[in-house]
Amino acid sequence: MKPNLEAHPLLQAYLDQVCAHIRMKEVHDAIREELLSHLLEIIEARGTLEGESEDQVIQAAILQMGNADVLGKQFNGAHKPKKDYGMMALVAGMILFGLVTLFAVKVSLVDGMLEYKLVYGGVGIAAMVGMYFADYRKILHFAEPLYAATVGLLMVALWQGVHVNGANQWIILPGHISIPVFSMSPYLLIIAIAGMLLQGNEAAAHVSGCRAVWMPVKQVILYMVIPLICYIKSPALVPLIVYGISLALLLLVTKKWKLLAICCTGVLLMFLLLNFTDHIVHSFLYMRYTGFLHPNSETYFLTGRSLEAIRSAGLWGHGIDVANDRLPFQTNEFVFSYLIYSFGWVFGWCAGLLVLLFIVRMYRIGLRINDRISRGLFISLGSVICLELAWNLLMCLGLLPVVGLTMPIVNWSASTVIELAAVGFVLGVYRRKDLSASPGLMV
Amino acid sequence: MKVNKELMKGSTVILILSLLSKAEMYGYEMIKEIERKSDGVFSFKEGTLYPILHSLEMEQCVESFWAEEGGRKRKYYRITKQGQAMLKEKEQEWSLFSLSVNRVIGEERA
Repeated sequence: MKPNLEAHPLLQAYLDQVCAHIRMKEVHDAIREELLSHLLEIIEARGTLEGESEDQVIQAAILQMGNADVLGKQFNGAHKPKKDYGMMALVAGMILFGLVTLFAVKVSLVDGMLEYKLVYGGVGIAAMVGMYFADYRKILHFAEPLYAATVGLLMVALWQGVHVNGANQWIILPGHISIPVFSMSPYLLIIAIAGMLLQGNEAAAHVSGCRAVWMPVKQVILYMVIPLICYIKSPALVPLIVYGISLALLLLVTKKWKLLAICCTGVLLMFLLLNFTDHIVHSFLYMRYTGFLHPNSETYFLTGRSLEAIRSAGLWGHGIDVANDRLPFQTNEFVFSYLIYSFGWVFGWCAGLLVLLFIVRMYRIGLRINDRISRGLFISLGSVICLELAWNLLMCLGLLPVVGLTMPIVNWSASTVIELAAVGFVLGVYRRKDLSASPGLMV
Repeated sequence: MKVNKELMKGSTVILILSLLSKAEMYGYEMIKEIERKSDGVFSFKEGTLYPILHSLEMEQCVESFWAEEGGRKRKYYRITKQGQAMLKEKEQEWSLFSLSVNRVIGEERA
């Protein structure tokens, strides 16, 4: 047989016709490869009869393979994108909750803020849809550049040195645009690290000797040491904790026990050796972070005001036309307290229930994913969102320290874009959860 | 004599699983093996094997990997524990079915 038979127009037309019926584009390449290999086996085994043209040989093979339309439809049935309508409904609920929030805080917003928030919400929803349809496995191929870019952004923010509430977490661009790089970073780092773990798994078979020793050292430096230094330097407590827990979950779900153990020991040792606890206890931040525990302390102020607004609400609230002058940050950090103030406890319970259902559902469907790395990626990335949601709610209720953390997804701001993109990303992972090995992963 | 298509449909899964329970195989190999063992009685449009394999893979009854031999890429399938359990179940179902069919046919002939 001629070597270029693979590209023969008759074969390619047949494969095109099969794939035309398969909506899940990600499986096209693997199916083409598999069917083509089968067709070539048929052609090779059969040989060419006397007086037969190449076209006739191929047509005979195709006949043996079966009707392309029938086959395509059968493949399409086998490869339906996976959707969890419950999760999608909850995401829609959260976005609706965001719109209600926008409507409620309208009276308290300074001029121009409403437009900003609308733009962020709109861009966020577009990013979510885009990430849902984009093939996340392609994004994972760019894990290293993504990691480098994220650390680069953190460095720029540290170097620019714009402090908000004693922390250094933003990049300020001309035209009053500020990018919350620190609150974005846990999302980006988790995606990058999942990608690097995947590449590491693929490469592990060929690694030996010196590189096998260097590998875990490199991993600990990249996954733990560098982000830790950035977060402490800032200091960015919320991203640090959120990232730490999410990374631990990623290593746990992907069963990287050794790495997990090394990272945990590393953090512990660092706290002991550098006498970190001592340093922290005397800092201004420590006072701020523990103030919520002591009603008489100066720093209890914020928590106190939030609880006051919630207590005064009653079952049905004060209505949206009654501005609350005593509640600070009502259009960002304390938006939940403000919503309860306006709409009452019943609304608060419903909103809390919505958030709780969202979190529970996120973990439940995450555990349904079979592939270890994809499951780890889904659960750890989902955890970033869930931890921030939970923290913000508990902070408004006076159960956790007040930190510069707005309610993800619901309170539309610059970070909403990445939060919604992350929601789209995890749903995209779920959508492709049953994809089998691609020809790229050769044994 | 060829077997009716509808009869084939119900039994391809058990044929595939039973082949894979003995060895890892790629699609073309399975088709040839089925043809050989059944003396050509079981022959069908070869492409239809793949959607069934892919569905079995999603149900985690089989798993797949690519390998290269003599310049040709081949997608191999192997049976999983879950697949073995399913095979056992299907075998019992099948022997009950064939036994009962034979009984009914036998009674009528007698």
